[in-house]
Amino acid sequence: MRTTGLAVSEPGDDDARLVERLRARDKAAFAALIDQHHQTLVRLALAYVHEEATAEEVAQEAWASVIKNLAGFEGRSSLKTWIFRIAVNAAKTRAAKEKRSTPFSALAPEEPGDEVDPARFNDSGMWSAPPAAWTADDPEKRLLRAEAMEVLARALDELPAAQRTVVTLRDVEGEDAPTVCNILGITESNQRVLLHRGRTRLRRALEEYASERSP
Amino acid sequence: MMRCQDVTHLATDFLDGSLPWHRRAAFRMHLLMCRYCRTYLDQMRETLRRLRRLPPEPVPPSTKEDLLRQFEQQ
Ligand SMILES: [Zn+2]
Repeated sequence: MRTTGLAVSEPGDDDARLVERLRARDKAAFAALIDQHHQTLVRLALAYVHEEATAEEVAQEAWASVIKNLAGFEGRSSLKTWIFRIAVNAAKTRAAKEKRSTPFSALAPEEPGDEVDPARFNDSGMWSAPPAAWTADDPEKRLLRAEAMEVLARALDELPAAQRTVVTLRDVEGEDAPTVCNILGITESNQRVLLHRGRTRLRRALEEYASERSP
Repeated sequence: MMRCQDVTHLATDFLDGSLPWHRRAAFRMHLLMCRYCRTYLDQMRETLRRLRRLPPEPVPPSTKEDLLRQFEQQ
């Protein structure tokens, strides 16, 4: 049974064709690749370096490295995973130069917001303030609006860096857990904790949005 | 008996299919009986669907031009 409903990108025909075009110096193919992934690279870099401008530089270094190493891409992972890995390595190198510790060097202790507010449960751990179904009144329409996507995008940006990075790779980019652990060099259990905390916060952001807008 | 609060703690592991079978069974049993937790899980799934559909943010045009120039010069 499929439990997540998320498509995981596999190295495949599309990748092979794209790589061929890139190696043939097809500018449109590279432009599309930039459009698709540049901001994710910046976001990945932002987990390691703290200035937006530095993250932007790291992303550009990563692209330069992608261009230079295209001939060596062997298709053992998907192209995008390969690009993410290059960006994370570039960011780690930069962080080491700046003697920054990475957000993954230690799992942060749980903070308020990482789990559902305990005040919403009674003493037996059952809901006392249960979630209200989002589809109850104005079926789906409201939450389908672009506004809700903006709320979600903003909430994602505001996540603690380590959570944001894991959620971006897993849930926005559709990478699987082992790939994310490998790209970031983190353990499976840390990956799960960060993903869980991030998802918990994002669901709440949408819940707050939905309840604000309710009549 | 699994509590609602446990369901919220375990939601990610459940959706990822990484719960051991006995916890998975207890989780499912709780869902059968508790519509609030079904709502919670539905909202979590909906959150994931939306994340998957977030459009890429636009790239600053000057950055894109620089990168394309590099690509052509290589
Ligand atoms: Zn429940």
